[in-house]
Amino acid sequence: MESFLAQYMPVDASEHGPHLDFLSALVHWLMLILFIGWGAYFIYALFRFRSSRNPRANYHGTTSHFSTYTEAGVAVIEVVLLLGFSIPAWSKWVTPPSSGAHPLEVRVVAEQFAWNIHYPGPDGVFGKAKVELISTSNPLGLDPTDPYGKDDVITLNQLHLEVNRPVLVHLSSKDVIHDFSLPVMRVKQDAIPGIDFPIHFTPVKLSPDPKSAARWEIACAQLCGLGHYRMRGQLFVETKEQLDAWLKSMAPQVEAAAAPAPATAPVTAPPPTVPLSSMPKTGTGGL
Amino acid sequence: MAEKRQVRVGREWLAPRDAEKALREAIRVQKEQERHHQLEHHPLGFWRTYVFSTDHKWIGLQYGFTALCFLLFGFSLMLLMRLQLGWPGHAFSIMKVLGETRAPGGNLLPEAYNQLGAMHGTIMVFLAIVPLAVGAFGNYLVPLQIGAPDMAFPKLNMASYWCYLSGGLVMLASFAAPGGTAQSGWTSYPPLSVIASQGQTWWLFGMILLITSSLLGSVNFIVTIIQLRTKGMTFMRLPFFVWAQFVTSFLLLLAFPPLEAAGVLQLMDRLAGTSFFLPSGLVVSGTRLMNAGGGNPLLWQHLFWFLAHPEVYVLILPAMGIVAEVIANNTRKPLWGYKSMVFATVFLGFMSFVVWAHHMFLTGMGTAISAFFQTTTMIISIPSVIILSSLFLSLWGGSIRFNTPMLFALAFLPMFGIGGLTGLPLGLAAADIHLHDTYYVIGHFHYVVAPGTIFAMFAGIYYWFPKITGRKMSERLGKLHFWMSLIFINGVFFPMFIQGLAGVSRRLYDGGAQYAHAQPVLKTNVFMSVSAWLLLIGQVPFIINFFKSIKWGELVDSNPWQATTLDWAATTSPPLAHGNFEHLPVVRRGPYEYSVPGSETDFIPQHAVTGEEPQGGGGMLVQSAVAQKEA
Amino acid sequence: MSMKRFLAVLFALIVVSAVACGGGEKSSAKDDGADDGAEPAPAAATTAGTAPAPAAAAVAADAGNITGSVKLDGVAPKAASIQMSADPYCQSQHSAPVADEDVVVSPTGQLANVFVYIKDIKGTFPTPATDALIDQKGCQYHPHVQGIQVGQTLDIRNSDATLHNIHAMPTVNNQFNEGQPVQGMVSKKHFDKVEMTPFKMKCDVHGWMHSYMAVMPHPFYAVSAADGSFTIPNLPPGQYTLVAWHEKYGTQEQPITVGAKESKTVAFTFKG
Repeated sequence: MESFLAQYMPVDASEHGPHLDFLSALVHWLMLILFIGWGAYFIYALFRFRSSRNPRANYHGTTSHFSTYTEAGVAVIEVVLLLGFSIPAWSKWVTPPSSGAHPLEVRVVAEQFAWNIHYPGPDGVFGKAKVELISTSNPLGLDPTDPYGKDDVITLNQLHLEVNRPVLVHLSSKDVIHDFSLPVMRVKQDAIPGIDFPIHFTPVKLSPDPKSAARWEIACAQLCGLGHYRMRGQLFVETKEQLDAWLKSMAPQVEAAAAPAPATAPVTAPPPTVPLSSMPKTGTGGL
Repeated sequence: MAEKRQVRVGREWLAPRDAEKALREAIRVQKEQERHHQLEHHPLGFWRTYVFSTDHKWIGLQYGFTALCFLLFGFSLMLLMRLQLGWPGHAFSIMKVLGETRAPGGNLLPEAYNQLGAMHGTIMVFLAIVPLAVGAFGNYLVPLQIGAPDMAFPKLNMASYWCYLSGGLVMLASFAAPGGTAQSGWTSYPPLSVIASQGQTWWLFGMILLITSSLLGSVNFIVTIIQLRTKGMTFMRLPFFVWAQFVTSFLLLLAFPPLEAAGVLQLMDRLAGTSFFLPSGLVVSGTRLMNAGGGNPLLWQHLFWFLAHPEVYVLILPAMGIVAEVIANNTRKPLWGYKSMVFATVFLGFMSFVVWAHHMFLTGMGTAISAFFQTTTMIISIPSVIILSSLFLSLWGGSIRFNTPMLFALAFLPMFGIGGLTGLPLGLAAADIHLHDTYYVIGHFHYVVAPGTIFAMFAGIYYWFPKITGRKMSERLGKLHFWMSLIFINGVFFPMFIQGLAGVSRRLYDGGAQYAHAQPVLKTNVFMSVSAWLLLIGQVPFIINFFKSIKWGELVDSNPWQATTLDWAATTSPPLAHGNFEHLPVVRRGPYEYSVPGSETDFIPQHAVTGEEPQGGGGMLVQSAVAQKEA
Repeated sequence: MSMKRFLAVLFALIVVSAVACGGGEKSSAKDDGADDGAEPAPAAATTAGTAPAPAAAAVAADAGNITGSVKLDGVAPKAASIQMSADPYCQSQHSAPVADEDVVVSPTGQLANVFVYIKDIKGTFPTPATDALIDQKGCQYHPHVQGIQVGQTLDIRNSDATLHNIHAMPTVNNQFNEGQPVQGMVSKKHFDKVEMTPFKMKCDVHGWMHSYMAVMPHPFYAVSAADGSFTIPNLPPGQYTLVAWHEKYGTQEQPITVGAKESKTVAFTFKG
């Protein structure tokens, strides 16, 4: 069943993905067995008890307890699926990686109709952002006076990740609800304005050629307006060297001029703001 | 202990308070009868009889006609969407009916696609299926099946219909609003819906009217079923359809008010500058929204789904009720496990209030709360399985007649089965991650509602048509309609599961053509679109059959299906506004006494006198009062 | 019989409301490609020099004109390059990186894309018969800044094979936001009210795409070209206030008197 479903599903390129796919396969087995079982009974009953063959109905019908057993069986299987698979998998999905795992931290800020991708740069600290500073040329409202923001890399619709390294995405939205979906990673999460939600996963495969038909993408899964259907980003999973090279090529052009500045804010200095990764996690639907 | 004084009323000794009650009731009944008597001599005019009618049967028909028109309208919106999805970027001259602002030169615009999507959902759920299932079938049949002269509150009933119609007209008129009608999905999630064009305001006003209509209706059903059951009609003798309507009414009554509140809040956000659903720091299209702050978009989702999940059962329970009636009648045997079905239905009703957030797994739920909603979701699948199993097992030992209503009722079982089963992976949060908001979801709930509920509605229409008109619909056209519908509706919805597994998001204007992961399953779009248009052709026999049979259908007697329930005890095409029964029937047995061993006929109507003593008491004060008066 | 009558009424109601949907806005978006050639070529921001010629009939015999130039005083900000990679189609339309058009200034300090107009001229002026055009090409707006007269037809064209939505954000006129999913699509729009301070028009799909448009009651306006020069021709003699507006540097005014057949020269300098 897993391979049967897999021929319709996209590549599964994350660490947790196979667990979800396995659960999906199990449920589809259950569905198939129930459907075929009841279907066979159904067709037989229609044939066997058609009025021309059985002109007088039996007032009492069946006295078998078969259905009670199936119902109980379904209930038991559901308990197993819940306790054995779904709840543990979910718990893993929402528990952030330990800081010892050195996850790659990225901010993803959705807006109509694009994904702003924000890397903290070499200093590992996101620059401060303010709503009132948002403009066409500063889509995230980064504070130019914040030294931690000077080396930040901001791209549009281009998410580059490192293979086999956990990723911690801080997901939010500027305007309406979007949904950050990476089909090949089995990752999907609503991006809700006013809520900064962390999601994490580990890509385990390198992405194919971005020009090929099998390219990997970010999709929007929640209706966000007229451009919803093409709110598409590109997803690259690369080696560490490739990622570093790309980040360097994307580093802000002003970096050269501002190069001496970081001396005043050494990488080792305690950040003036609380890093996003240590913020309390939103627990129950953000309420 | 104080001595109890009793007074004699008729032949019985009663406590003074009860006696007073009975006398008041007797006087009321007498007045009522006098009024009816007068009415017989002074028939109501055209307007009171056919437009502003207070008769439950005519209101039921009004609901039915209106809802069927909306059903066709909602279906045609979907046909346009399917054209766009099958052939994105292609101009169709038929699109020009949408006007130059929506489809310049026949090229549908993305915002217009969103309008079609939002209105297809809204119209189908709130203007077509619910009014058909509850307003039409419930109104027409519940009083007949419980042996009541009318609904408890006839004027409320009329008000309910007119609220519904006004709501529907407001929804239609919203297409003419500047910027078009609502375009934020039938779920209208803020902030998108709050910043949307004016059509959304119309949508909210329309919704408020529709909700009001449902609330008026549900109160009426509850009181009618509790108070107006005829003598001998105990709760456990109610036809399953009445039980389904009873539970449905409670769902409507309890689930709709939160949405009404939410609708008013959203209206305030749009019109009065409040920010119930707008968090701080919103920047829309590069401009900061200054009135936003302190709100939470998820509040709307909780309020919305608190209605919209029970609403799913509002859509499905009456359908199950109709299917149960048709199956019992056409297997010529009692429903298997009637009592467990009733209990399952009541339990389903309760549970439907605690599963709503399974629509919101991806809004950022922690383990505990997601575990809760996953568990309740799995639990609610059990009563559904019980009802479905009972219906399946009812076939065993039957003498099955394959007439058109039965075909639709039988097809309901596997179709609803697919709809229910595909709910399982969506209800398990971990499996939902990949499938959430994909076409898998669309396939799932359409299987529940389209080949599920709508097929049951068709079964009901074919089944009760002779009751309403005195004529049968053509079996030949009916069977043609059935087979075309069954084949093409599966052609429309089954490929959605494949697309969903591939991860194709819903509500995409080009059906996923932009996305690499959608490419392998893109060709199914054409297949689905062709099926959808063929499905339209499949409805032509029904429309012809419907209108033709009103005039030229085969004439039948008052109980053509040889059914047992009280609706068939009333005369054919019960006279309007004259009450339903010449004498209120007295119920003597359960609803499905088919093929009773030792009986000459294979059915014994609920009210038939066969020499056995009536058992049990009715629940009705009026009856006893009338009896006393007669005495 | 009466049941039918009821049905008829019901159908009529529904049909009426359905037909009502067809009505609505008056803007039509008929693709009239043949006309485009006859118009002045779409004035790209870098080449725009003069305002579209006002209707010939309005030219007074003693009309003068204003020529001038706009300079930027101070250090021009280094133009950021646009991340066209956000949409592979846009990237494919450009071989070299494209700079942001916020501030377009020549090496010698001449400032382009400044909208210059007469604020206070009385009288009514005919609406031009020719359409104004804003073209979305290579995921940029052409022109970047332009004026249009009240009631004049604006053709909004998408020359790209990707979705653009044109989101006009005027404060006096009605806002609109329309998607153009198909290449070559043209929407026609009108603005009914005077709105002399240019408002933003942007594309939400491509966040960097923005342009400005002013709605003028008269034809006496111009946009500065790459060399900072502009010309307002055919101006009746009189005393006026001349306004220069730049999207980043704001607004400047100066009084000006134009005599009969006089060619007046003015200069604006914005502080960088």
